[in-house]
Amino acid sequence: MKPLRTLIKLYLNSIFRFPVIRYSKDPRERRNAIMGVVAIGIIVTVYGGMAGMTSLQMISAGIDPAVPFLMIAAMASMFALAMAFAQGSATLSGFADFDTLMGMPIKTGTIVFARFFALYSVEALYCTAYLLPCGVVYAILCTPVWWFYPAFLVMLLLLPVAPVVIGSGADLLISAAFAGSRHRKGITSAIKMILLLGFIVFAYMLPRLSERFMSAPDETAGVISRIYPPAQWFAEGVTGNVLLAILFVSGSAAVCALFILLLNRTFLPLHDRLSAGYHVKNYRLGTLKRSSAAKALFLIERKRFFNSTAWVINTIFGSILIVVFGVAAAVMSNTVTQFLRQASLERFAPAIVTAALIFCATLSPTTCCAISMEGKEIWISKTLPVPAKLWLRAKLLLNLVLVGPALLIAITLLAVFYAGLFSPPAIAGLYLLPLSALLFTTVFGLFVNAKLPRFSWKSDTEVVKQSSPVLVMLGVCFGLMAVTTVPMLIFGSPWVSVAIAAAVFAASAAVYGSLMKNAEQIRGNL
Amino acid sequence: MLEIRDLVKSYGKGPRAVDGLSLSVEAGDIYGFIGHNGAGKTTTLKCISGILPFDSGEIFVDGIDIRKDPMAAKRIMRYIPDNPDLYAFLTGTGYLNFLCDIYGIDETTRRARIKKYAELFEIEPKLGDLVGSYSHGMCQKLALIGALIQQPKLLMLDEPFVGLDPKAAHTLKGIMHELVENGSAIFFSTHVLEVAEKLCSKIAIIKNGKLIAAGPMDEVRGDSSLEELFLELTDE
Repeated sequence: MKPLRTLIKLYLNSIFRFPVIRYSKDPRERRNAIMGVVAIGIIVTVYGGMAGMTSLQMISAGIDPAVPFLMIAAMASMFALAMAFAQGSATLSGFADFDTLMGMPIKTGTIVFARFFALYSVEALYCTAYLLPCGVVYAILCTPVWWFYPAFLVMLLLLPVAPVVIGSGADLLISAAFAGSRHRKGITSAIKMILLLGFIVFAYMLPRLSERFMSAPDETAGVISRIYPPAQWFAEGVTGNVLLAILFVSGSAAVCALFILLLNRTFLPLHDRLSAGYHVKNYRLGTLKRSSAAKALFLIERKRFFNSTAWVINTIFGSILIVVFGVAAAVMSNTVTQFLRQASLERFAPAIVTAALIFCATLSPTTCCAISMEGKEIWISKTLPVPAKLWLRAKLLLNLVLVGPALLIAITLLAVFYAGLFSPPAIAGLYLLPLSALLFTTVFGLFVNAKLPRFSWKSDTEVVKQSSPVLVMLGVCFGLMAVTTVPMLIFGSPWVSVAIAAAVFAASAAVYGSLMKNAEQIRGNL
Repeated sequence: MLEIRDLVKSYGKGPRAVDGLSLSVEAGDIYGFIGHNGAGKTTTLKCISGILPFDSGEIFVDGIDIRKDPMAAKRIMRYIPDNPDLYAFLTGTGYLNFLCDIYGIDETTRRARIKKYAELFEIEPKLGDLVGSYSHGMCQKLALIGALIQQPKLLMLDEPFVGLDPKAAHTLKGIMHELVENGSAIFFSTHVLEVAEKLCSKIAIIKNGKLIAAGPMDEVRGDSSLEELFLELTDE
């Protein structure tokens, strides 16, 4: 058991960076690690609070207590599945300590279990954050029997097990299937994108299957139960159905045991396959294309981006959502316009549309981890004879190129198909506000990453999903949405959006100016 | 070619990693830099190459102050770390082509130079593979080619022979001689004293961040072997 304990401790320390917080003498690195933990704490508190409030409202309204449990458990499971799918193979087989560990007298099963536990523990933390407040609300309002408390605790900890198994298993299978291919990263990223998009569209369509989503929670619950039965077993189990509780606990434990057993048996050949490189037979040096230094830096940045599945999914997803949103809104323009007119919501349309576009365009700028993603290769950039401005501009340009065109397409579609709803100044605001927000998050993301860089990572997921600049930018995105759209709702005048856009453009210019002015210092201090 | 004056570098509030180091490397020198682990060799090399800022002192590369005009200095020098992490997402050719773009090397020259050094290091058939699939030695060879295609005036290498097979190590020694014959200078750190003794025209020994001996090999070594001298100086 000692090696297992040691390995689990090692991986958890790697994720949460406690040793850095405790022992690092580098104040910047220490601050970075503390910020990461604080940001996770804020997210956990906010989501937990929202989940708790939802259950309080539903149970107070007389809805069966199993329904909020079911809805939040299904949501938490979906989140765990998506996260495990995005980083499963990176965590289970991607850690750089493979050679070191396999050379030690440690059983393969111990390594497999420790890595699975590392993946599971993060999702368990989020699931606990979502569901613990629901449990507290249920315990206060419904005074359950004594065994609710231990049963809830056990089932809560088991909730992410099956989603993590399904998500990481699917990721491993896809990665193994395309291992050895030159375009492996691109193919796996594309498949993951399609599956995740399908998953989200499906999740979005779920409530529409029931026309009375809000008025018929039982019907909705039925739909969710059919899609993911363990969520129902969990909800019914914690609210008193002993049989379903046993089914959930035993089912989760069995799935976990089976997965670890299977992974244990296939770990070595699987790792062998996943680490197989792409080889060209009889390669001969051909013609070499020449580019300018600025273009070469941009091309490197683009290649680095598309090489990281986690990074691609994080950012490209927003662009796809923007286009999907624009096309869907264009296709359904008559229905939406009619609905907005009937419900007298016309005056809110610009604010709602702007908020949606800003959310999709600014949630995850590539720039907030672009410096950290250089990792141990940062020495190359630092020794190149190119001005640091050029190096930073390549990073800025990547985000603008990835998100900008999608944003312009969606806005143009909205401007054309909803011409009747938007006055000319409102259309100007529709263009300017999301574009200014995109520009601001692009430059500010890079600014934050320059302040909080992290180069000592083992898996890109640590940077793309868990690093403090990414979590900071999540907050900035929501803050920006509020700052830009709330005044529109309050004042109503379309000129307000133009004025806010001008202010955001000015702020972007100030941050850009600071970045360019201190570019050499930024790169030198990394 | 390289002039270091009273270089001081410390990490945070820790002790000085490099403490008042001064030395000069002339064109045509193969200058060895030796010292025990943690003596300050890599820190010195990183300060020269512009990777690390330093507390005080001056560094000139071919008369260019590295602090005042780092771009101009970087254009004429190259540094290869001991464990070169290269862009794993590029092919070998992609990495070299990227460097050629940065240094503005024209198509004909870049192709000729890549071909020349890739053949010398017997790596050409592997240049189409992703760098991520390379062994440590292959990464080392690729990093060396990346530096050599630029024909730098000052080449700095941190433990260049670690990971290289005997033939590649022999090739590298030949290339180093060829470079200095053409007017460049090489400043490199090593723990292999036999190599330093045979290869270097000048040698510097560093201990706890301070230079304890420097100069032409024969003068520094005297009648004893480099190993004996090194042990004697570093044990004091």
